[in-house]
Amino acid sequence: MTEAEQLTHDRVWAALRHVIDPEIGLDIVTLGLVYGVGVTGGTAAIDFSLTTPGCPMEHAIRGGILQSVGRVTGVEEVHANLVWEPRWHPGMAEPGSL
Amino acid sequence: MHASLQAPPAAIPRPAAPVTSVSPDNAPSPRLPGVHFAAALAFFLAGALGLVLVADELATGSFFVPRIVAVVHLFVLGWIILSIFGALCQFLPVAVGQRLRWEPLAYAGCAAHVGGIVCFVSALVGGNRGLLYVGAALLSFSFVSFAINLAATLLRASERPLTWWTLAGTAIFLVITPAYGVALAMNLHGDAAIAERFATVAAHAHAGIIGIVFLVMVGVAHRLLPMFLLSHGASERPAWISLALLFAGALVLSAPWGGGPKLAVAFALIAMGAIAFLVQGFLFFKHRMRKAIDPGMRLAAAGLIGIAIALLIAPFALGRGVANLQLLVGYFVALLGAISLFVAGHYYKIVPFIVWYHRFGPLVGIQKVPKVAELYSEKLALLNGALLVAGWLGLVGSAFAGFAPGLRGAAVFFVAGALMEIAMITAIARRKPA
Repeated sequence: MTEAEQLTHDRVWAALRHVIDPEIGLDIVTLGLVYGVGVTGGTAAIDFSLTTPGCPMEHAIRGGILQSVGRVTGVEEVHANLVWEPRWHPGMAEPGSL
Repeated sequence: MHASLQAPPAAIPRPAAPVTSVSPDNAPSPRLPGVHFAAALAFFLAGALGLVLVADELATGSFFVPRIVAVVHLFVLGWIILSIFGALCQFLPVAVGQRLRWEPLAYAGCAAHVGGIVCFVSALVGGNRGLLYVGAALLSFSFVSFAINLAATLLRASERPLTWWTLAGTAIFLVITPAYGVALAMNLHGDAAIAERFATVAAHAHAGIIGIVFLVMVGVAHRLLPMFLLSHGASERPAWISLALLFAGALVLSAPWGGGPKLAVAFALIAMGAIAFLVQGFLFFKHRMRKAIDPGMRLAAAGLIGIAIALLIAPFALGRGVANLQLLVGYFVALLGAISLFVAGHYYKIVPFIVWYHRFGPLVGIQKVPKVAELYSEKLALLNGALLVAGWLGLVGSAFAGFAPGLRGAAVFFVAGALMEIAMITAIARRKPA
């Protein structure tokens, strides 16, 4: 990872703090719903999950990721990948946040 | 692997692909559930006002009085069933990954349903048999068209989880229940013995309540309660047991033969199924990670407790039948009131979600957006719930005691609760980003 990519990588993580799960009221990083962030050139790829399969907030959260990360300096393209492995559980949230 | 901001993971190279659209193809239109909910809330208020008007008759245990039958149908058909239809329009894409198959048919069904209730209730109060048949025909169209729409939607689903099976069962009883109802409407003025009429009414009422209302409650609760409560690790076996027993019980009950033994078997199955459902609800609450329970879920929990109380009364009330009409009236007030509380609680979950999803969801990541729960005042919502629960408790107690002033006073509380629910939900529906 180049220095520029590392900088963008950190900015993407910070941007994801602005995406909240509106039902719980916490951002998706605090909840542990972001499984990984990759930056290659101007492309950011985010692996994220949901608290439960079929969560009706999927599209709102995905949209939030696309919009928030899409505004990060150095990001030209965003891929938000919904993954189910490993299955999210409350222990993944930051301690004391729930 | 879980990663946090403090320890960001390594980069994950991805193949190039266009940015995904924010709006999903199957996002439901808010208008369709909206018109159902608006009509349902109006009928909720009408039913509550009706309780004030029939308080004297309820106190004397008048089970077959047309005015009471009219009020019962305002609650069941107007408030509960329309709420369920509206909620399913919104819920189906979440539950089975498919939006309602034919939305224009749902609009037509909603219009027929509203017109049908107005005709049906007016005919009962005014004694107009022709209008009664018109109402029954419109309501039958509404039920059957929704059943067809629901079945067509389910057939397009690729997976068949528990919720799918509960809704499939519901589709069947959406056809059976009005058939029973039409038969009753045509024999309303017949000379059937009161005991025979009671058996038919009890079968019709419970086939509808169990086959439609309870099955939907089992399916919806199975999907939504873990989400709302952030419940993890609860066994889901009770829900499957509940589905099987409730469906079997309602089916046995709907059979046009069998007499007393049939009723005994059916009610035993239904009672066990209801207990399994309550156990499932308890497990979801017990395994919740969010300890604070919001006003909507509190009201829904009150409804579940009320259903448990009604379940305890059921063997005595239905066993005695017309031999103790006061007990019978008290049982139906307890049951329908408890379901009403459960439904009223879910309005505080569903309507804010719809409003947030369509108006605030597109702004996530762009500007600060409120939480779903911040779209209304928690204190006022709790007061709303308290009014409804107080009204329900007063109604049930006074109905059993045959105390007319108590019934009327409790009905006024219930009216106040219904009015407040309408005001709160309307205010939520009007919320827009600043």
